[in-house]
Amino acid sequence: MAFQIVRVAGQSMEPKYRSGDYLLVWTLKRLFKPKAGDAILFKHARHGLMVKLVESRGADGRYAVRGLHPLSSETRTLGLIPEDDVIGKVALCFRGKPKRPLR
Amino acid sequence: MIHSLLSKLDSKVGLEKASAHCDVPCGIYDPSTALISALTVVRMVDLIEDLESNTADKAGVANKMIRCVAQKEEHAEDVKHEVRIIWGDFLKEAAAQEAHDLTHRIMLKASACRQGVNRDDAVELVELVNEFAELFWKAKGVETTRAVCPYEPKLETVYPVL
Repeated sequence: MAFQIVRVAGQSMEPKYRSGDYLLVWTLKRLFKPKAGDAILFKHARHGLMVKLVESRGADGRYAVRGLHPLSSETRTLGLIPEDDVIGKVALCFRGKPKRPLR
Repeated sequence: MIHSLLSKLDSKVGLEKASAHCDVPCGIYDPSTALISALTVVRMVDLIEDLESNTADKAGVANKMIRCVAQKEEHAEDVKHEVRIIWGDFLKEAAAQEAHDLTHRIMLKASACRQGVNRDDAVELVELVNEFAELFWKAKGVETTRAVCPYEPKLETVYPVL
């Protein structure tokens, strides 16, 4: 598969991606190198699948990441993300209408 | 459009979830927000029931009714939100197990409060959240007391003894 679709859970990437948005993620890593400002999907040892922004890429190939929201966790708490743990780069975001259903 | 298709697909096959949590371990948990919301639900039910229908000011009554119902909806949902956060993020292992059934009953009761205008349901919601608050403070090793809240609807409410 050249892509993967995931659902965003949480507020750390607001306003760019909101909780409940669906993201189309390109997963053919050989075709791109994430650069600063790109949103990437990666596997984190403690938190599982995460989506964050690339802040910088170190000489050792590890990425410093951050969220957009001021309260987001970032490299200080997440650690640097090794190249191998990066799954792909977010290409598209699909947002639904905000709703608060009656039930 | 695409979102709703993806949402349907998600509910069928279960797409993976990408976490974008704030993850700041701020450690600020307090059931008082849920309690105030539950008390608000009772108050809204009281205000709705007290609405005078035999009046010429039909628009005024309708306006107040809608405002009260909207607040009842919102605060009942806030109860669910606040309780869910404490149960899911704060309570651990045995305490979470102990709160499991109670949390579920709060979810059901808060939904019942949204669906209808029944004072008994609203009062029972306050009592369930009281029990939840006691469980929470016990998990933190803080003593609690019960006192009638000094405002309408003047119901017994759990407070921490600090």
